[in-house]
Amino acid sequence: MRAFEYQAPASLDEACRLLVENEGAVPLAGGTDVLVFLRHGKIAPAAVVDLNRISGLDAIEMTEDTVTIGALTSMTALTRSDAVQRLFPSLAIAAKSMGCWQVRNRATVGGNICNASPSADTAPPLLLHDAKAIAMGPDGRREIDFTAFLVGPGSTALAKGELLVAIQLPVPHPDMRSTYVRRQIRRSMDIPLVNVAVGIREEEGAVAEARICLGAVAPIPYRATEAEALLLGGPLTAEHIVQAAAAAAASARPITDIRSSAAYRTEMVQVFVKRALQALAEGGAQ
Amino acid sequence: MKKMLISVTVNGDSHELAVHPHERLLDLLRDHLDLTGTKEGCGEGECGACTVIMDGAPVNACLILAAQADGADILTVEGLAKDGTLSVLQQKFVDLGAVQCGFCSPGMVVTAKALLDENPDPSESDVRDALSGNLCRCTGYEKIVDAVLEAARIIMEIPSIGAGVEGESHA
Repeated sequence: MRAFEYQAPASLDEACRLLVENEGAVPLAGGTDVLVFLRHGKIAPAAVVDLNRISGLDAIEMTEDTVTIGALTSMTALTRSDAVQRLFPSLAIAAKSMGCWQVRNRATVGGNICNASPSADTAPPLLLHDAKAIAMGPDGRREIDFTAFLVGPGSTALAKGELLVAIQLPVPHPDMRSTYVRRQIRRSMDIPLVNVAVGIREEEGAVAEARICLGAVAPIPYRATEAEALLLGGPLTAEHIVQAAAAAAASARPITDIRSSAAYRTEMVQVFVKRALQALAEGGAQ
Repeated sequence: MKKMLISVTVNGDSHELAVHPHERLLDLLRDHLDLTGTKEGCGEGECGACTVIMDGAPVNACLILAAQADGADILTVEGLAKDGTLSVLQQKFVDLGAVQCGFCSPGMVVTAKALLDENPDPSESDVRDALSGNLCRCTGYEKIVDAVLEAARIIMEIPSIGAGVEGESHA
């Protein structure tokens, strides 16, 4: 790999300054993507800014109505957090499903979403749970709705010199149940060709809230709102599930790539949305 | 590029080393410290042959810059045996035929040790899950899983060995 300078700032301010001053400097969190890109020459920055010496970026904090997850929280920590398992099961499941134990011990939730792969595992759950991205930069603190954070494959709404420092999620309604599923070829160490987070909240036997969040089948993860609407107002029956799954598949705009064909991905949206909704109908997750 | 001075503890020994920015923990171990037990199988975090335990957690040494290991406590495969005696885990790998070419073995054993440190009584599925980041082209994994389960059984039966602590080998 091309030689680069290594910097390990002790504060966020210093990190942002270094990113602004060094043209093409890249931030380094868990390194499970950055080191691979460096090795393959996909990136050749003049400097690497290691964020791991900045304290306070890896905490999970809860207030009465908000949970704040530090951007440097590892996937393992996310998987094992009681608060995340209890309140955001789709996120805990998603974190557990990526990579392998060694990778999850280093990979961070911030890195996962800032890498902005269309198939990022944490993205559909964060969409589902109305997350906000908290960024810090030379102009101070900024809150970005997660729906606006990912703007394209590999691309986020962060400005030059800005760093994602945390993800903030409102504590969900106690009756919201969610889960996460993904279609992958290998049982582990594989990137999904379709990933889905679904959430259902029922009131007196009828679906009051439905969320179907799809990844890997569009330039950015998104909510299949037409499919969601089909579930509202009635009971979560097998028939409604099939209809919603079909609508979700119809909304997908996947590509054909090394991992799968567009047609297969479309088919898998239907299969996995159905499976996820069925799991919730049978009383799963939360 | 200028080298950086870092301090790292490896298998209980402290070291001060001058490393280049682009060097990885894997290079530090193999090239600076001649600890060649940790292998480079892929260099991109896919195979687990470079697994070491860093500050208590198994990680791929190929995905960590040497500079990032400043202040860290590292355990490699060389740190498992005591005074030339293999740990129970290592001995079971040998006894149960879990080693063929041996290239994946250091990574396998280190990950398995990390597992048993956390979960002294794993199920077969726990073992397979924990080892899912370690690839083996020779064995088909069966005997590796057997060896880990057998080691766990022995360690649990003999309290003086302790969970995951290096101890006398058992036939």
